Amino acid sequence: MRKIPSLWIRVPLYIVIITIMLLVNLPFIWMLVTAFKHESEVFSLPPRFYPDFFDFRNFAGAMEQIPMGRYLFNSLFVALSVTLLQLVFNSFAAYGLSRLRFKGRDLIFLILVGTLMVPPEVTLVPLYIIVKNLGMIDSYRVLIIPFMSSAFGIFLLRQFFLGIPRELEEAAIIDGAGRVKIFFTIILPLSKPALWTMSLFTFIAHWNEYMWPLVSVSDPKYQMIQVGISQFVSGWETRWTYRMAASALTVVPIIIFFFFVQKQFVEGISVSGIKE
Amino acid sequence: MGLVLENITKIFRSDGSDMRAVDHIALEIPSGALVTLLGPSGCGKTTTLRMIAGFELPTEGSVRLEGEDITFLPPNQRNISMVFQSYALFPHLSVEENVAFGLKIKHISRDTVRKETREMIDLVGLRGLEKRRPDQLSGGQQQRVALARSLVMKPKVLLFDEPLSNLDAKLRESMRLEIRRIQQETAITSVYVTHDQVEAMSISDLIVIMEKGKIMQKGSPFEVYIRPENAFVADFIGKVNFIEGVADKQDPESGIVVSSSLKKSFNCRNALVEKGRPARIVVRPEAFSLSNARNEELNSIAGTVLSYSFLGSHLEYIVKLPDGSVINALEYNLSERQLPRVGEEKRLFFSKENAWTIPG
Repeated sequence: MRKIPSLWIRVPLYIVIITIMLLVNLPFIWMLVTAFKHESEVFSLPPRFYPDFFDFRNFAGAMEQIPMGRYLFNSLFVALSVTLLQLVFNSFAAYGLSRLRFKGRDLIFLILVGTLMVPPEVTLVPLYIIVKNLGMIDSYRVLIIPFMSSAFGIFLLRQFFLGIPRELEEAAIIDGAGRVKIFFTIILPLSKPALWTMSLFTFIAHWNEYMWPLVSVSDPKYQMIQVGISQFVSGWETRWTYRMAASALTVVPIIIFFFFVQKQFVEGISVSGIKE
Repeated sequence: MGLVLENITKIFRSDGSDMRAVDHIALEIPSGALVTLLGPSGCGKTTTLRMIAGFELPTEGSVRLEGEDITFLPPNQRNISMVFQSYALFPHLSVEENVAFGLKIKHISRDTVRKETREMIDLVGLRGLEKRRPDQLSGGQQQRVALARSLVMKPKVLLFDEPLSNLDAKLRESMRLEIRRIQQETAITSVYVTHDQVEAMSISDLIVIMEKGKIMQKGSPFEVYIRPENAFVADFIGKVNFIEGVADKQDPESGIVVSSSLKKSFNCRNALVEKGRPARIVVRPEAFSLSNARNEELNSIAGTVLSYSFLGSHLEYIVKLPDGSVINALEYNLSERQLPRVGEEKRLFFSKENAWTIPG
């Protein structure tokens, strides 16, 4: 049995852990309390952490000032679409790269992993030119199609698939199953933790996407929430309370999503040995 | 003939070098027989099994099943099933679903699938555990599920890849009897791979002993034990003693081998070694009888007890011979006998019927 450390070790250890936790969460807590403050309290001197009273009008104000509902819907639609499409395409690609033998397989994988080293800012302009030439600007397509698969997702799933014993596949083959059947009845059900993990990473990444929608979408009909929130910042005024209220609202879907997938997510992280 | 391996060879190529895993193996397996491929790790037995299954393609030669060439048929079209070393049960499916997996692929009616699955679960004695997942079963139960999953497909050939190696000794013993019972009941031609000679002896109709990709001997368990064809087989199957010498007479019933180091000639069965050729007499430990008598007799050797172990039913002796070689001998019927002393002189006798000669 593991020995429990003495009180002299535990107390300072807990203090350090709690301090780190507070430091890490401070921006989040500050965002939450600011969302309930009056505008005059945000930068008051001396600084005040808590508001005099919790003002819920900031949420209503934020929603009046920008079409928050539309933006939230767009973000949800885009993030879910990208997540679903990546589940399909990444898992197909990962299966091929992990289980099928064909010439050039390892080279393809190497190139794919190599793209992870290219910062997205580098590909921003070329990608913009491509989608513009394809006439996709100002549409859902421009927000979804370029991200239907990702090198990171393929890499994560491939590593997980490699860990599935080959004998399971051979047992299915000898029982008469073909590749497609094996993929859907054996590989995918056994990869739930990795699939959930990839889904969570993808959903969060696209929910928080700022740069690409800013560049590729100007029509508010297709705009996403993170760009919408930036509208509270202008050259002469920033409505911090509205901005924080809107930001607090954008965190809710992620918390709900994480709440449902946390078990599989932790399992996926520990099994694949990958974290982002 | 059920399954025929015609001169099959498998060469693995990696980093520019060739590794010959299986070297021109020819084997005929009668329908309904259980044949064991026995040999040490790396002898090519699993590769041979995988070529029969279709997971590996032979570099040379062919595999025939009931007269049909199946060498290049994919595994799922061969009507062959396999029980894997790790059982390879689908962890997300219940016992019932695991057993029914192959039947569902065949698009058989739901009622038939249910009926055949139930029959097979009954056959392997797993009734009541149908809804359990593999991780809720013991090793032995998992093995039974693997067996049921293979049998339910009604294969022409059933392959076993060291199926008992993950079980403890006691369970291994009961499971091998169970496998043999079911195999005989279903009369499915079976190929069984193991490195455990006791396992091979107890369940096989025919044993094929392999070494470095080649067949060293094939025969019934009795034949390979009593009449090994070479030192490797003699040594691999059970414990053995070799007495080195030169053949003086070649006769399957009454040969003679002369040992210059022991300055004696021995009567033995010598079917293999011509007169004047180096020979080895193979005597199993249990073939010796020991006494304190001093008189020189035919097929007797005097020796000194180096050590002994009391193993309940018998005593196991290590006896040093005058030429420095060491003999392992067993003595049964220990009741009312005194234990020997280390250093004591003993005379070891063996009959010519228990002395088999192989090339030296």
